[in-house]
Amino acid sequence: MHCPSCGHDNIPGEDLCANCGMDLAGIDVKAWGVAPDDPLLRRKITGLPLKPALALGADATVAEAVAAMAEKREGCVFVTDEDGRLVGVVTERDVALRVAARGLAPESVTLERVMTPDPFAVLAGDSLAFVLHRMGVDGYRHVPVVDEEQRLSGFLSIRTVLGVLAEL
Amino acid sequence: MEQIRDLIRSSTVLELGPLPAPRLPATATEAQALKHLVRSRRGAVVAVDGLKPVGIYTERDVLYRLADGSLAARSIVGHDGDGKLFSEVMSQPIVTVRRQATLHDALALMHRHLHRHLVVVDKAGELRGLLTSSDLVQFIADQFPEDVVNLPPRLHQRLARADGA
Repeated sequence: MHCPSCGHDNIPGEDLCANCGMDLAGIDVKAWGVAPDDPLLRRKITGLPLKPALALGADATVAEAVAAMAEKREGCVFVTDEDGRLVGVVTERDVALRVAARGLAPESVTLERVMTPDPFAVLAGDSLAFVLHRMGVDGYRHVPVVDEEQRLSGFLSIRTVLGVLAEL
Repeated sequence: MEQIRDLIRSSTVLELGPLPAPRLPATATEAQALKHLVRSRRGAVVAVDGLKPVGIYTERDVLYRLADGSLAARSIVGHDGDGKLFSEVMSQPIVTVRRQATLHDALALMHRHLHRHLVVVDKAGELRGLLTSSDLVQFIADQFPEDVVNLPPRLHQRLARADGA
């Protein structure tokens, strides 16, 4: 069983990758169903309707992020550095969990304090199946799409994925 | 071996296993609902009247209430009298699905209503669970052959444990 993160070939049934320690539980679930030639499995991220990513600097406030998300009706903002490289993500869950539920004022908290740094990201040439898998295993609802230099080109939302699946 | 389009038409919501539904009486406060919401990690809390679901409160609702200034930090820490009731902030009507519905039906409902949560009910209309978009994607991805979900190692992939990203 190959680790999806580092590619190490683990003994089947291992809970953690022997090389990088990634949690492999749930990856080793027996695949009883889908034929390897299923058309969905051949699809790449290229060709799917990517959404334009909302991007802010790490020193922006949560209030700015919340206003941007509410205006665009999106569930996350991406945090980029001055060169436009992806450095973090702040989702509506982070806002609820790390700001609202703690009673913090959104205008007094910077994104740097609440963002998840170095988020999982994919390249446009990656397979949709890989993204679906990570959305399933890790519960991601927003997956940024970057180029080789970590520059953000958009993101794939779970709503877009639902649309693809609903139209099968 | 099946095609995914057949799999989602032949599998039902029941086959997804337990679908925990965080719930609170509609008479609770918004602060209680928010605490329940973040603790449960299901993305939504169902408002109930007895066993019947009457509304839903999602992470998106929290976002919008923060954005228009109606959810103030101090009402969450909560000693002042400004706090709203759960019944005042919950979204209605809810979109429900039966456990016998196929995954295709559930996907179509989510897609049509642009909801990521469906309230699972039985014949009597009583709350039986909460179906999230992540539950559906996880079930479908679990059926993939192993080799399609693995990629060769790449430098830009790091091991950060993103929290709900």
